[in-house]
Amino acid sequence: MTTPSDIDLADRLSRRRARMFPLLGIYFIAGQAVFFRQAEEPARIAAFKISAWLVWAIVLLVALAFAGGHFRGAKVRALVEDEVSRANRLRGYATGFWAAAAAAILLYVVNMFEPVTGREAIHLILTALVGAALIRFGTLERRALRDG
Amino acid sequence: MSDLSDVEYADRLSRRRARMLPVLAIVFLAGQAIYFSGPEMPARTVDQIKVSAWLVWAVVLLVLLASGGGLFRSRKVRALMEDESTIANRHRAYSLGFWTAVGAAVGLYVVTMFESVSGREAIHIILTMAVAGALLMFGTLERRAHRERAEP
Repeated sequence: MTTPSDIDLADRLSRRRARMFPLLGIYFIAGQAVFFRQAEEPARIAAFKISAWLVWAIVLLVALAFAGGHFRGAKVRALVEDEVSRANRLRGYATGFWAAAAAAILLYVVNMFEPVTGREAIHLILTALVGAALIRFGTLERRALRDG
Repeated sequence: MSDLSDVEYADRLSRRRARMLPVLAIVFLAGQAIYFSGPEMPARTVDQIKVSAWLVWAVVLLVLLASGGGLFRSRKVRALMEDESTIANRHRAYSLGFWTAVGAAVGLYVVTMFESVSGREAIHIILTMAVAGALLMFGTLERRAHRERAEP
């Protein structure tokens, strides 16, 4: 049976997730400026920055997929991951999909006139995908919590 | 109110869509080999057309996925084709497209650490995986929905 403390915890987790995701999405997109600096830097620092970005993107994707009380037991997870949350996540994925498609199409056109490296292309597409999905999911969750 | 012909017509179109989308996805995937033989910055007109044609192809498939193929049909037929189950199936297809794009991007990123990948190749692979993954999933789910509806 679900206890009041489970409900309280689930509510807290849902609200925290709704607050954090749009911020994380914006921060992730804004943080990309660091990776596109023109100045030459030692190979070791460049490799570290690349690995850090990849880890950051993967952590955010894992959070998007599993930050629903997955490590708090089945009862709390069922409360956090209700039907509305699952539908909102699917809509978040849809936004991420379209953001990636738009970024890829735009880059393909840009690449016809100005060469883009493979790494830059992957970077921009994945950033658009992750950032858009997080912002959309977080915004929908906030709206759902506000509407009760 | 929808008359019987609208219902029948929408059903026929919907079944055709469910049959066609996975085939289109496979043709799209299989057709990629010809695009990787050209130069990175196409100078010849024929290469420029080839590069642009792929983009047009991808955009057409994305429009097809988003519209459900009923773009030039009447509002009634479109509404019948776009029922709740189809909308849910499309969202599930987008989620698969999302994850295949992620998989392709992360995989390519690792590859770039050992081997150089051009911008065009990277965009090509990621978008192809996303579009084909979403189309395959949507078509498969729609086929399953039609089969389940037909069963007594």
